[in-house]
Amino acid sequence: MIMVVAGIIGAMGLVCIISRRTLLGTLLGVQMLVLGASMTLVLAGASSGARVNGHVFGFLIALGGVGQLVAGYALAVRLFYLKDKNDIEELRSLKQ
Amino acid sequence: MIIAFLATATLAAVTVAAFVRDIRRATLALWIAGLGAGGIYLTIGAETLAIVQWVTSTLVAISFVFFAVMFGEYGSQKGFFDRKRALFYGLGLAIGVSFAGLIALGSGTIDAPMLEVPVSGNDLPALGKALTEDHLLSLEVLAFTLLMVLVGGGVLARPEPMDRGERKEELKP
Repeated sequence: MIMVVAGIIGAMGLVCIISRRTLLGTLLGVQMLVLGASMTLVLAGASSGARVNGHVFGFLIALGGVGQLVAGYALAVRLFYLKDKNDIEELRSLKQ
Repeated sequence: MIIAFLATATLAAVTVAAFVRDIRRATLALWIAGLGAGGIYLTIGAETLAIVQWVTSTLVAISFVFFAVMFGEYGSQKGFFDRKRALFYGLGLAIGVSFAGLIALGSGTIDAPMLEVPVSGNDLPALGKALTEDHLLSLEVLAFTLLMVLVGGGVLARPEPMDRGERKEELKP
């Protein structure tokens, strides 16, 4: 049953990504999604007997989440620098 | 019992983080969710991972506060889709619940003995050995990704040369 908790954390992250309008809000959702994925792998490792492997994957995903957060912050800084706002709709304008 | 309490607290925190409008409360809720997840790791014998999760969550929450203040979003009520776009809520919720359902169906049930803390639950040497021997490629990919993020972040957040020129002009007496 505890595995469902991990699934719901990921689900809430997805809801947050879809429903929020700013880049920071989206990053918040991505963090929840990463948390859910990390927890799923750790619990899957515990349940399948491959406990250490679950820990390793949880560790790697947690640090990968930090990497994407830094990239997201850099994008947010760029967007704020160019457009003076942080709306997710404005992200497309960085391509120009 | 403890794991059920931590799971409830974590679920409540992520629900608040997903639905509250204010980014300040959402950040606080995300931090609590991270702490709760670390507590769950602790109860299943993953002490190292629990510490990594607590440290990461705290740093993430601090950085969120910092950037929210910088972008003028801290305490702001904006940043959420309005009621006219209720489809987004429904769609997100449906996809999310399906995601959770798939995990629940795929994982089945975890036997209680599996969740008990083993004698070598926090076997740090085994963790380090697995990380550096069995999953060395994953570690290298992560290290390379973090390096690229560091370089790419610096490139993305650079000031424009034109702006620098303008700034110099502005600074001239």
